[in-house]
Amino acid sequence: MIKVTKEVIEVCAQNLLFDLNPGQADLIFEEFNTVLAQIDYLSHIPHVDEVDPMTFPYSEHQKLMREDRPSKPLKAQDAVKNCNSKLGVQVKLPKVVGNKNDQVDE
Amino acid sequence: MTKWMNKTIGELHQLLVEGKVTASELVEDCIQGVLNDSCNSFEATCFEEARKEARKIKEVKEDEYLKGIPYLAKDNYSTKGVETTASSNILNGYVPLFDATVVRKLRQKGMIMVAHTSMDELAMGGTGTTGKRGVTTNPYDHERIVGGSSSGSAAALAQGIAPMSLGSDTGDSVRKPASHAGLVGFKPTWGRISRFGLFPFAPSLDTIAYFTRDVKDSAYLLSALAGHDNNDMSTSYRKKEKYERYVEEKKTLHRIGYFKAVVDAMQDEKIKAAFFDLLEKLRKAGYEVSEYDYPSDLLDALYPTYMIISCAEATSNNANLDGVRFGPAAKDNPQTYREYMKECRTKGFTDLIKRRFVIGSFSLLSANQDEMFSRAQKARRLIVNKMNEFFDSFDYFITPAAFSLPKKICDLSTAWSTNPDFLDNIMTIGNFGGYPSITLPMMKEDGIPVGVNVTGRVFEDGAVLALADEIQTLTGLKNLTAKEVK
Repeated sequence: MIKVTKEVIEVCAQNLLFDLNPGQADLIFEEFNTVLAQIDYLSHIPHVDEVDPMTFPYSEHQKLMREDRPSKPLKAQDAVKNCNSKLGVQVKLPKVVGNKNDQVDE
Repeated sequence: MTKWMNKTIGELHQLLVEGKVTASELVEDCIQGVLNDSCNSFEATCFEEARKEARKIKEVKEDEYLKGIPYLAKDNYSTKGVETTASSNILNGYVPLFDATVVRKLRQKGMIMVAHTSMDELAMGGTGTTGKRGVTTNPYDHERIVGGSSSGSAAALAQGIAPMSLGSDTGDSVRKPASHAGLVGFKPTWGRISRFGLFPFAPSLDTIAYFTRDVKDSAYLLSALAGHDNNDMSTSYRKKEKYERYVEEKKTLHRIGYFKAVVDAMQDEKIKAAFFDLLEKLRKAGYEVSEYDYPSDLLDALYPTYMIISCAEATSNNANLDGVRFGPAAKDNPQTYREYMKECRTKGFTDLIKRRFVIGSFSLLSANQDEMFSRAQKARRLIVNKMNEFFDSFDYFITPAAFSLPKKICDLSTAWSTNPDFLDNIMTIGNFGGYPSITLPMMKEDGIPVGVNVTGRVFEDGAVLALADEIQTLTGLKNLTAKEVK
């Protein structure tokens, strides 16, 4: 497991696309002591690693083919109704193409 | 104080059928209640739309149990034309273009939404103090919390502002406030009701849930809301039932179990005495009631398991809150789309939400997943396996829904709990296993209600409602409202 440092916390925040102020980062760093102790507790539960992770509460499989039903998509005017930065029926954002800072693989 | 809204749905239905009151009068009464709210219970209102809907209702027939009845919805139910923000600044101004399936079904049954209620921001809290409009208080004692995250829905019902309100339950977000506010809080089986249009928090745990002041009302609501929905592929294809019949015909099962570790850990003697008194009454009523030795190491695992899973799922599910398609736009002249989103998210989320997202994100990093998220999911399986073993020998699990009076607002902390008490998290079992689970009033201590909780096997919702109704009869605590407010 990656060691928790303030730098790692900052990386997580940047990946989540928000800034933390120094006080917030300190608080999270302190909270991690508790979180990691509790994670350690989970690791000591007998047989915990002998079972599969549980993703949903129960398994109930149903195999069927759904009928295709045509439906109307949202109109462009409606799709941008809640958008606060727009030009006509298009979302208006800072330039994306050609900007080094916005390369997808950065 | 309202004239009609302190009655149950069943009572109001009878008055409507007999023509002694109109839907318009009920809606006006509910609106007066909303306007006189003393607990900070509301986020948004839809009075004019409600009045319009009420005017359309001329007649209510005997079998139209929900028609003409006003209700309230937690602010995380998408409602066409009504600002819906999950009490978060990042969604300020967001007006959905469609109704959640639950809202649509209630509309089809003739129920009339009057307002959206306050909640913990994005449903990530259990106190009712972290929403963007501030603290929601407990109508029985304004110095105390009413609990969360469905805080406004609980506070409003306990004030007699409506006979029913929608909440959502991811850990105990309906069932705990129901205890603190003297209400019936029902979380049906996971997958029984569509969640389409409910803002997701942790989808493997999130369940549609609601408050009423009478168990039978909850049964009627489940009959109206259950069923598969093509918009939510986690809904079950199982046939829905007429759940009110379980209540009317008293179709209960027989074996009730409680955990030895729970009664051993209880500190409040009055709550303990009331719980044992109720168990004795159930025995006298013919039920087989006995103790079960559920492992304490799994009980101590409830809090970290819940917190890791819910934070990780929430981190992922709220990635769409970027300020682009909805929410307040960036204003600081961002130069890139990343800067744009970062500004929106930095301003839009409170500190608590950011802290939870960072911990969730950390637990999902590829180098950490095995030891954090996956291990919590494995602990969940052990908890549920053991609970399913319990259900081999018992039909119901019973426990107090709270083990002390609700906390005073001045004593709260939002920090990750360093020494969590498993009693405070006992009802997360219902979410881990997807079980139907209901809280209803058990007693009052110093004038403040404390609830009891009953949980059953998945899809045995009817049997859970039937036992809850029996308990309601045994305690005599039905249709409580906070008549005297401190």
